[in-house]
Amino acid sequence: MERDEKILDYIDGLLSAKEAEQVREMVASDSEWKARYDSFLEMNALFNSTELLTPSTSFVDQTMALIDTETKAESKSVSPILRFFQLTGWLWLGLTMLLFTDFNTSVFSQLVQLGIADFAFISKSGIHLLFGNSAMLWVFGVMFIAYIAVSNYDEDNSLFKEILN
Amino acid sequence: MMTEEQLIASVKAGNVHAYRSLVARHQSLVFTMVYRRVNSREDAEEIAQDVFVKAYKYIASFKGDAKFSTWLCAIANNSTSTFLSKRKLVFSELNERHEQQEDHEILSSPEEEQLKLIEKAMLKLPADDAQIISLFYQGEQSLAEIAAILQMETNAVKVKLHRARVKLKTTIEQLTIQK
Repeated sequence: MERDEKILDYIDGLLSAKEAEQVREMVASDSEWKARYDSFLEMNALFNSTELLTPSTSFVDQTMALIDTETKAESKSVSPILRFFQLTGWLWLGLTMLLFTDFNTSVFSQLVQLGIADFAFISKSGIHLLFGNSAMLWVFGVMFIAYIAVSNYDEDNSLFKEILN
Repeated sequence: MMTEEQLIASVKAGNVHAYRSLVARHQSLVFTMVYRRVNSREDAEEIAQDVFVKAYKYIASFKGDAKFSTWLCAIANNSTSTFLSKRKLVFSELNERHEQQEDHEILSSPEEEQLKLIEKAMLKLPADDAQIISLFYQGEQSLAEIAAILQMETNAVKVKLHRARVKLKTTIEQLTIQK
């Protein structure tokens, strides 16, 4: 086994000059080494004569068409991260507008008057605090994502691209 | 004719047409590399296409430290692993099916016969061994490059390649005797 490994390393040119000389000497003096060397040499020539397999003739066209489709689809799509911030942003804005509208004309007022909802258990300052905090969290989230995107831009701009798309 | 470096720079600058030349140049290598592990032309083409789409998307991250073909092979290796883990393919069953198809092929010239014999022997090897041999001989990747593609130590690749070659040689000899 060690002999085979040495011979193959010699054929591949992976041995040092001293080791290569030792193999050359063994091949020249030992008939078994010579036979093994010749058979590996023949095998190497055989493997080298083989060619890569070829895909179908339409492979390049199909691949380019796929790239074209994916590129177009990606330019239209919004990344999940951005979609999350878009949705939560609109939700936050909508709810804030509802809360800060004059109570008599707001949707809440209508719900309370119809007896569907009772917001008495939450104080107005509590609501302001809740939505103030959520707004701050949302802003910090956006800043955090932007920071990751910018800091990773030099190494791999894929995330940056994803956020921009 | 543009060099590979020029083509890559052109693609990075937004020239999609330059990428066509890169696909044409490396299609056989990627296809062979994938085929060695999945043993199905249809699946290999699908995965190889996916590899080129991924490579196009992330070409900006290719810095040129390694050969472009090595980078493509690394993507191909990962994509094939993902595909296989999803499909949970049983290699032995596929090999048998493929060998049956090969047996019915019409005999041709001695050179073609010899190439067919090697191909048949390759199908009998474990997928990892066949892949490593293809990368070394047909893909012209060095041991260090194969190590990078397969995420292995160079020495481990050397040992694996050595064993794979001996196995392939024995298989070819057995098939020749059977004939």
